[in-house]
Amino acid sequence: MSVPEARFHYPLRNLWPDYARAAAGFALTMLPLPNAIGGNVIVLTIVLALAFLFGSFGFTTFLRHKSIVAADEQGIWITGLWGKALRWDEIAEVDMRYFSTRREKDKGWMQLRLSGKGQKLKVDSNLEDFDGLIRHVVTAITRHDLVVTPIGKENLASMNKTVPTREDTA
Amino acid sequence: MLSYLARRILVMIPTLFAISVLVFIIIQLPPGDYLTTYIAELEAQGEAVDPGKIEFLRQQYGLDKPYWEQYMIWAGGMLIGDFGYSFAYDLPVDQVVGDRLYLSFLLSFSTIIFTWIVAFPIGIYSATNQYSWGDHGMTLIGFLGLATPNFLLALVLLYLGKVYFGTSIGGLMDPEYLDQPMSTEKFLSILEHLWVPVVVIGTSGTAGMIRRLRANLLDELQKQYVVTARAKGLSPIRLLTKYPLRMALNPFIADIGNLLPQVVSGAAIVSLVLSLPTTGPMLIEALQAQDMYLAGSFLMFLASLTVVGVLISDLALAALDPRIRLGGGTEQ
Repeated sequence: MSVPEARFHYPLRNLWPDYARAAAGFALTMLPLPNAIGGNVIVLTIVLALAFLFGSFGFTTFLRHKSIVAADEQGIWITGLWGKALRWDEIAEVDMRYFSTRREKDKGWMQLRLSGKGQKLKVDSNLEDFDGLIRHVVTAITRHDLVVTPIGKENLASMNKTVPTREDTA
Repeated sequence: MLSYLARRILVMIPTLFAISVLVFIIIQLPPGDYLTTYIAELEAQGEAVDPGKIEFLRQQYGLDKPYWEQYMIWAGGMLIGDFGYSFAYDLPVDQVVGDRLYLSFLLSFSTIIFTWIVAFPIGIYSATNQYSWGDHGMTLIGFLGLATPNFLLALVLLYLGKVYFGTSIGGLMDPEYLDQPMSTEKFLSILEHLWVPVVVIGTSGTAGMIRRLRANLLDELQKQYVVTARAKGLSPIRLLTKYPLRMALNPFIADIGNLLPQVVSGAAIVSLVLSLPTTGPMLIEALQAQDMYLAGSFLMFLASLTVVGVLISDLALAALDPRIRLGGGTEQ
């Protein structure tokens, strides 16, 4: 049975909190900059590094916003600037990571990481119908006998996605 | 990871603001200020106090301004690297701290490295040889280290050094190098004296770390993926280092948040007992004398290091063990 091509994107309603975070962080770190110039070099370096970090975060959020993630029977790819593509049989490891900034580790987000052929393809759970993409990945894991990390298996299980018992013990 | 880092740092900003307000309130809590303490000291010595001079000093140090204005000056200064002025030393705070900060760093980093070098192999040995004679022996030593207060161990070592070896093991260098610029001889003298406080401060930390590493590694070694890997014939070393050890490292990483402030506070009580020229005793003196900018900047610096330490440990944990916990959920 052939798998039709599925396309996913990052909608603005999922990304605007990240845009707001980037803008707030950039503004807050730029606030002391005029007074920091000519003052303590260490403080100035920290302020500039933080401004650069939030600027980069805003830029990568924009790149995600403009990108399209697609998957079919052959493989998975991301379009846009720094687009990447991997055939399912080229994937060496499937990982699913969970991040949360809270102590209780709730209200976090997942990140799918597929690595192989010297490149790494990452997709966040901010993606519209992330669950649909994961269904494609789980099908590919079964069909191509892909290696899933133990942490990835645990996180997939928390999304009610069971994958074959093969583990990376090499 | 960039997304995690940006979100995590953004959370730190209101935290640091709240801490700065709390620190300012704490340093203002004792009745009076540095000048009232200073006047009381002069009067106790029978010296006359000139009210005009006191008023001048109050204006000079900004102590006549309302609290919110004093806070804005102090917090705004720290944002650009100006930590204020020490009344007691009559110098800017960064000049007062001077060499003591470097010596505290040296002492505390040496202690951390000592703790890890000793605790890591013992913890692994104890977990992989559970209930052996070696494990029981290490456990006993660990409990002894954990139960002995650092300052008591310091006093015992001072006594033994004086009575049995006729030497004083206090201080962090020979007296002739105090207040001298750094030189090879001074550095060698510091290294010669360093081992005693390192052992004294490091003992309890080592014992605690051994127990936690042993417990965590034992938990991991009993998991199913380890049994599967063992059944597939993976070599014991590879079996240990591939995942169980990585997972068991969590307590080491989670500890970074606590370690960084210790690096600067320099184990204050042990430093007092052993007469170490670190920042710990200076912080105590500043708090006693109500030297508010010195004490406040110190407390703020320690709090900031705790926040940065927790950030580093969270980043390391997110990289090493990004697992969801039961009961947690994802948001789109």
